[in-house]
Amino acid sequence: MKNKYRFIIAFCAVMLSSCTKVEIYENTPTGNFEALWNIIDEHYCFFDYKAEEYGLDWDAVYRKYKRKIADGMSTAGLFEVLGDMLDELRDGHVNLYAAHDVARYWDFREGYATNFSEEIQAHYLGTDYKIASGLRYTILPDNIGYIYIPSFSNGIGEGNLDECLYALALCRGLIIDVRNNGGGNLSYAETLAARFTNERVLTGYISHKTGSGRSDFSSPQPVYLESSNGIRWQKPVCVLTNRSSYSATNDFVKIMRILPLVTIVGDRTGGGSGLPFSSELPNGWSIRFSACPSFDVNMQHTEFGIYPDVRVDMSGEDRARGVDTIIETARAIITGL
Amino acid sequence: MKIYILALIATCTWLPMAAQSLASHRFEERCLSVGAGYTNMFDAYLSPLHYGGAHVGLMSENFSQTTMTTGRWFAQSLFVLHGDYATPASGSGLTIGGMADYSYSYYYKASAKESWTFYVGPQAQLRIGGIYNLRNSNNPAQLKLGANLAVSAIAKYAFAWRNVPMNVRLQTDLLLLGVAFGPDYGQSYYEIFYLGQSEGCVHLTSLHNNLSLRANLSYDIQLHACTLRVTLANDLYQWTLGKQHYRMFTHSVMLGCVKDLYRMAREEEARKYIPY
Repeated sequence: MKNKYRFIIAFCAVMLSSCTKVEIYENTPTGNFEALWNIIDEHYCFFDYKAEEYGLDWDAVYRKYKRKIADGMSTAGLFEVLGDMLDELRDGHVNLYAAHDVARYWDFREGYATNFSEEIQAHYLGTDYKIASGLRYTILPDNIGYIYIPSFSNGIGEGNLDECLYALALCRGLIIDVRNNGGGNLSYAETLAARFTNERVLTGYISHKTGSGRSDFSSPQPVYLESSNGIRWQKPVCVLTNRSSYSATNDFVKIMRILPLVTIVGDRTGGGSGLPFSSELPNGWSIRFSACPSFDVNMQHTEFGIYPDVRVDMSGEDRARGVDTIIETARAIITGL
Repeated sequence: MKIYILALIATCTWLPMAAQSLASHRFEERCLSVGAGYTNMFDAYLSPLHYGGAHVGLMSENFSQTTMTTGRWFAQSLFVLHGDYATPASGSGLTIGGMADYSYSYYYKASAKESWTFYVGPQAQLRIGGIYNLRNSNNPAQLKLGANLAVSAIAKYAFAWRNVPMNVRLQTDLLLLGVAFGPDYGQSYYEIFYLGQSEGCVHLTSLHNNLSLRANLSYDIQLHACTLRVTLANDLYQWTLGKQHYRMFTHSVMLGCVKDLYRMAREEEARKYIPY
């Protein structure tokens, strides 16, 4: 009889062990604040790196902003406080979305020279440029191919790249302009980069969180770029960057900089090396944050941007003359090679 | 690990295949039901909030007598297809889910006391489904895959009310052992499917990390043309995989039509099973 009870108790204990306690936050300013702080605390991926870089202390952030939360505060007031709290992460991939506004951190580009002008770019691109899905391309007068990619959100297929590179095949070199490209789909960036290598190359590493602790990460796994089976470019390439080259574009630059015949020209990229995840608050606001860190081939973060091989800004004098200093520098590099 | 997974999948597929060898005359009950109800979902990978909403389902059941051990063994083939449409309390998010769930059970008719009949036996389950959260970026969906061994029990009570024969049946399935797919705590599907870094996505499951219970209370009313079956179907799936919690409750009312068949085997086949 005793054994029977022991079995029942043991069975119930095993059954109960599968039961889980889930934190439920109330839809109040305090509940939403706690939910947001905890979501970031458990899932954000750059705490250690940013503590080293500029002394980010997420516990201190909690104490600082908790004082500003009162249950009678307005929705707009709560949004402002939560947005300010997220700004402490200095991350362009961190956003809080409400029906009336989007909280964002754009200091990575707003405090810097734009180094791009659509008006001046139009002098180079002209009006008869071709469009292959996400690629806008033409041939400059000195027989240099010019491709502008405004976003990696628009699909770039193998067929688009074959047609584009075939059309530019006789050019002496190629300029790929990813200035003001805020990112998009990583796979499109990699599909494009695969046209500039003849062999499989190690391009970096990626990791992910394995638990709610701020330092719980998987061991970084290598990421390789396979060379394309389509047309592959074998001549000099310049990739033009500015501070608005962000996220998937930052990843594209990270890959291109290690490939032969490629020179990065312009300003430091905006960064954004964490793969963003989404979550939400009890009041319905949506939150986006960096969740999986990626590293370059030297296991270094590129969260705050990648420095170009040739650092150049658009000069005021050139702007006044309708000349793009960065494009002209790239042309000089290709012509001189 | 690979051997364990292969053995489990082989068991899950062998059980129904073994039943195909049934060749003698046998009783068979078929039922197709459709229904609707309520679902409550929680998936920590997608959202920290509970989602609630509508649940629709289709259930196909085949319950037949086998030839093993003088007819005291029965086999049940159960296919459940369901879809869910749920929102959080704020109403600003939307999750769509669906799952196909196939189980095959062997039941031993444990005892029969007048109106009561009890069945108990092993069950093999295969599950495939997913949840899609329309708001999320790189964590928009969760794939649900699993192969499990469970124990299943049925209690059946037959009675008559105003000379109309009726049956009340309670079926409960409890998962014991299985394998399930689930990303690591913060692992992205980009890593798993695009980069092929899927190590650690297959988890061994048992009672300590996977509580899966199904309780179907069905009520059969014999009408002139067919038997009408009303089922109160309750499912609870709860996993803790990669330190993430997932939970899904569904409660639904299903209406179905039961067909009782008596299958006749070919004479020469049937002779093999006749002892005289």
